[in-house]
Amino acid sequence: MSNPKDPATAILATTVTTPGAEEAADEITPLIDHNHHANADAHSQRPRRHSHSTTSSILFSHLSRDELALADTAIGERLPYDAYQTIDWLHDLIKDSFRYRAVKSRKGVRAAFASAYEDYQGWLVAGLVGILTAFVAFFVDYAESSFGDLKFGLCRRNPLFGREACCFPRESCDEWKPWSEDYGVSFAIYACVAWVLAMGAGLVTKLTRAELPAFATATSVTAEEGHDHKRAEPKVIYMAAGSGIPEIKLLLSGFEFPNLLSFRVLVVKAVGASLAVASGLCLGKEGPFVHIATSAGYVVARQFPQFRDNGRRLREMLSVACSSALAVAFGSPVGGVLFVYEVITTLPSQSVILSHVLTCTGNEQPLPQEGALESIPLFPHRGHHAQSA
Amino acid sequence: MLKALDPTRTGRLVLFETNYGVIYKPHNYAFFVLLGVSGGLFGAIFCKGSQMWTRRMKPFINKHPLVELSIIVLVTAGLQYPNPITREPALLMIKNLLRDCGAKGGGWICEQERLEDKTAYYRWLISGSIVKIFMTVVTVGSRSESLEMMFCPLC
Repeated sequence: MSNPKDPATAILATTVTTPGAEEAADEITPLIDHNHHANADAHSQRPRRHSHSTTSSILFSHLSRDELALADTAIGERLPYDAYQTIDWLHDLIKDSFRYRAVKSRKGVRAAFASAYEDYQGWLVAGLVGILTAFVAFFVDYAESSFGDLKFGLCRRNPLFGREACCFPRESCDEWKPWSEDYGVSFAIYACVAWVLAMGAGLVTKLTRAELPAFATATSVTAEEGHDHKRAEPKVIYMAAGSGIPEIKLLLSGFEFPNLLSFRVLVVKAVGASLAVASGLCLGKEGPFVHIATSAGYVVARQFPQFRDNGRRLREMLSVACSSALAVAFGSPVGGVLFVYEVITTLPSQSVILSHVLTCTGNEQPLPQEGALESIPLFPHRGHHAQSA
Repeated sequence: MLKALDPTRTGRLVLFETNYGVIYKPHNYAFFVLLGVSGGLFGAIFCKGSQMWTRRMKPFINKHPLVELSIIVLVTAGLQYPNPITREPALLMIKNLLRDCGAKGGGWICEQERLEDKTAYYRWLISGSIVKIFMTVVTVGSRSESLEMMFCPLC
């Protein structure tokens, strides 16, 4: 670590390095060895130009001495967080501003394209999330009405059609056949079909079984000391159970919640929501939509290193995805934005609000990139956030 | 543009659209106050009730989630089917209740509204609300359920 006099550097250094990190790598070992910046990981496409070994004169002209010292710490590395840990918001902010600068500092045509791509990546991801959410929501709506009407009867023309779709173009409804004319029989069939649908929802939810470590720190300590303590029982939870909103709030406020969001959860939740609502239980699909859309946001954002490697950026994108959920659930874009700001988000950055507003209008969901907001007169004071580092 | 796409297949822009071309007199606003108060009361009942239910039923739920789910769904079906209003899916029910009834047509609710003697209709409405509140409390209170409801008025 360079320059231990610098307090910021010292603090950052202590958070990421531990004594004995060179012997055994554990989850808090920095992924990059500081002595070998040259072969920095190709995994995250971030160039490591701040180091002394690959000196770039352009970068030097941009960076002060202090900032250079900062670059020599673990800035820009992927901090792996454990279950239940909170992410380091400040670290991620600084990390992102370094990434931003590194992208912007290169010259040449290819670099210009790369930097433009970086700028509009947020908009791209937000748009993709909106489209994916809209497709899933369409599926859920359609499946829910079709399954729900199975309690009453069957469409002769197409068994997948609900009553409304079956009778849609015509006034009369010849092709819609109720199961029975008798009150008692239709009552029994109604109850049976409702039961089958609810069982389906319950069983499908069981597919998302996951185990969380009960006490991650306690177990690791006992393992190190070699004592044969009884390990704490892992907590079994079903990720698709419940509305998902409390969990999403937890995640967006900075906690790590492994397995909460994945493609599997997305599918299970969509199928489960349509079955549960179709069974006629007193519940709605609006809560699950929040979880579904956030999962969609996670699935898409994982494909982009800018979001994957930065917990803060990922959470910004997830909150954008979250607001699209309400937009599709009620057809109310502004309502979606307000919901995220009132209920869900605890993000320290208020700068995302404009993107949320743009987000939901038409499900095109842009995230403000540096520069994008500066051009809008509403945010004249906003420079790119390297300044706040 | 959105109107041409017709997302809700009703020719309307939003899910539940009503006509606001009515001029309200001051005494009408009392009902808005009443609506707000009852909304708050329902919310309070819902929160307290589902918490109590969860606490009471927790040992049972943790052991037999699917049995509990079966009981809930059968009780829900049994209570909802006899009532012509709550028998329909929730979305359709709200749509029916918000319908502006003309001189003829419009389904069961509109027929009832045109009747002179509305006691049966009001009885269905009130019993339907009570059933829905109770079942919502029970459904959400039982954590075994895969999905819980949110924002669904009167369901």
